[in-house]
Amino acid sequence: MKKLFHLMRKRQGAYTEDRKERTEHRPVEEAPVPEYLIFPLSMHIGAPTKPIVSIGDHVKVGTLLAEKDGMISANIYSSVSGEVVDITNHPTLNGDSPCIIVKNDYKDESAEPLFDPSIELDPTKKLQLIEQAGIVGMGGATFPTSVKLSPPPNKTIDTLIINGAECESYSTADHRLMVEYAEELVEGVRILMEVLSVNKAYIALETNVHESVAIMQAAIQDHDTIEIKELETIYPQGSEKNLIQKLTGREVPPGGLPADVHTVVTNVATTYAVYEAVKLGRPLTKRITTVSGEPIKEPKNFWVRIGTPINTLIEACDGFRSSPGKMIHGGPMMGKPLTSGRVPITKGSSVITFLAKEEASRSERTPCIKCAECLHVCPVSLQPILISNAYEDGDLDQAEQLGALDCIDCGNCSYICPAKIPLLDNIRAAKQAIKAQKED
Amino acid sequence: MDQEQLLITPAPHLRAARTSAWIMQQVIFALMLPVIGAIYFFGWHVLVMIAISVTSCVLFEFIFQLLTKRKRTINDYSAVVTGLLIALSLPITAPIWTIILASGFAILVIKQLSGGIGCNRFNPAVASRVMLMVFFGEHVSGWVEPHSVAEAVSTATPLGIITNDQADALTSATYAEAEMPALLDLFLGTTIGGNIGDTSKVLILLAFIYLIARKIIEPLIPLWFVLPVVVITLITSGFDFEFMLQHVLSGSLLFAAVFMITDYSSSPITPAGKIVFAVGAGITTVLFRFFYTYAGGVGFAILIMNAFVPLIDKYLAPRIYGHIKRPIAQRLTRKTG
Repeated sequence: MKKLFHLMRKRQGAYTEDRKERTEHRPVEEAPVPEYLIFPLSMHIGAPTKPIVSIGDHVKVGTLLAEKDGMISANIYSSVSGEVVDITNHPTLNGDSPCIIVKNDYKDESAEPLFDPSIELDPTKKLQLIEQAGIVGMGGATFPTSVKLSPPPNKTIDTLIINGAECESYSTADHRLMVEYAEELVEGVRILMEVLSVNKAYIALETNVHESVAIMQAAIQDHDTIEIKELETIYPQGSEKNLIQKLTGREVPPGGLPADVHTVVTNVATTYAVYEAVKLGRPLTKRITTVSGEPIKEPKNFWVRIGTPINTLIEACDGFRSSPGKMIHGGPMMGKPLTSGRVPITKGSSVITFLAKEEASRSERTPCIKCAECLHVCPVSLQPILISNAYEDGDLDQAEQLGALDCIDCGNCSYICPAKIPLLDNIRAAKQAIKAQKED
Repeated sequence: MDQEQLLITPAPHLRAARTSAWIMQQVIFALMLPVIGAIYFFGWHVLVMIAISVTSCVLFEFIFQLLTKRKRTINDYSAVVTGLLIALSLPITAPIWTIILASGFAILVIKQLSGGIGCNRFNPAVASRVMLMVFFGEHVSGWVEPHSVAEAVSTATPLGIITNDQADALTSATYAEAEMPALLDLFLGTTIGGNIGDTSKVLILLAFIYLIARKIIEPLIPLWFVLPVVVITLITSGFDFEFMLQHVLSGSLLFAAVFMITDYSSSPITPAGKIVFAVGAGITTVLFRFFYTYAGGVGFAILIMNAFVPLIDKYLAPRIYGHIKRPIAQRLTRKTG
């Protein structure tokens, strides 16, 4: 039936295989905690943090290691107890960059909570706690949540969207969070609504994850200001712009933010972190990460202490059953390829995907046959092939006119192209070139 | 894990399985239905025609790319598709040389000189069919009834009857007396003279369904092409449904709707443009049929609309998310190969 429907409607999105079956029913388990944890000073969008500990300092779970520096930045806390042994360059998601290294003493001592949880808080104090806890967009964007929650006074917010549409293949971290922590999530949603003073929140879910849909439905029963919106399983359903359009009918203006259309979108994992910070006084020190993909022997969902190297998780999955060809931080459509397993899990690490060499290799490019599939699957209605052509012809003006800067990097065009033209590579390059030109 | 051999190409890391060659193969499979019909109705000579057209198309493409030192593309099967379309668009009486000429024209003049696959503005099979009709008309209009090849009974096509008398053709008053074939015959193709691939509408519809199921063509585009034909014939005939069906089921209309209007290279890429193109071709077809004396209006109509594709695509680009106006595509093709 889904297939038939697919034929008849305007497409705008691609049916990638969801490949979630190996992890979607596995309860989240505690990941082993390694001897050394690595905390990059920058694990968010914005300015890197300033270390406030020195080598030799003793830290506990929840001790502030580095504090936000500037408006758009976020505090970083230790996820173990132990000793700061080094502040040095280490492989991270963004190449070698400064990190605080903490040696685990395996005592797991906790620092004082951020506040006394028995005290009733007002919305301003709750927002401060979200900022203090170092919470950032945990769906992968890693934009500081407190900044998102404090739009300029001229931009009123009337709608909150909780993004549970986990549209990347393999990823089931958000799904498991909803299945296992539905009550806590609803509490998180209520806190966000209070902070934003909105009286409407939607929880957006994809229909392929029936279990989480049913559980969330039950959890919101007593809250008539929260509504579940089931969306078709289609990539990139979970993109912010797409969700806003589907749920509110509004379109974010070019170069604008969701706040421009009175909306805030928050990922479910972020919402859970808000619950922990505001209800329990816990800073952000752990998250759920899916480790999956064909080559992985036992794919799993883990509660991971932030700072845990990927290698630790690979071992906890019993390693590989076949040799991996690609290691991706994120999903197969938008994730970032990595070469080192020493890279630590950070606040935005929702899934680590491994692909076999054959599936990840690119095929030879052939001439465009004008099938127009790239136009059909583009969620923002671009003409990817024309932008790619303009870029390859060196015509940046044309690339810009055709909306290169509106591209959301979802990868659908390159995915679908039967001629295997690297459309997104070209569009990305065009974007960079246009931005560089503007800065001159 | 520290592995230098891990791939580091940027996202997306997965690619859909379908390739251009696979798409062309699906079109070839779909075309097997009219081929089987053609063999059933007109005999084994059909296979000779197809063998010649396909072989010449592939050879012309191969030789051209060899001589001009361009990248070989015969493996993408698109020349095979063109060859099949050319043979299926001809009557069984077409001489062998017309088939070779049409293939050469389609591949060399229309396709390769514009830059090869994806670059040709005109539909190669349609262009070569129209070329034959204009310059060698007497050789390619020997339509015979199915199963009568041996006797070579020449027959007018139903369209010949409809458009024989232009004045009368506008009304439905006289066509009935001109011995129009029964609608069922038109549908099944049993006693209808015509191009070998056109005759059985049932087989064309089956091919249509196959192409939709394989997601090769968009289901609505052929319908947008047929719609104006339905509307105009109904209105001009005072809602005579039989007259309308005669038009829809006659000639190459449905064959073109499924295989020509949906051609990637010679039709627009924009969703709105595809509809304008199909509707425009439908209207032009009816105008040709009403005001021109011989069959083949579909071919002319498609070529005329092919010429408008760049204009259509330029102004009908989709509105980008968050923008008010559609962007304008100044250039639709690459400057460099």
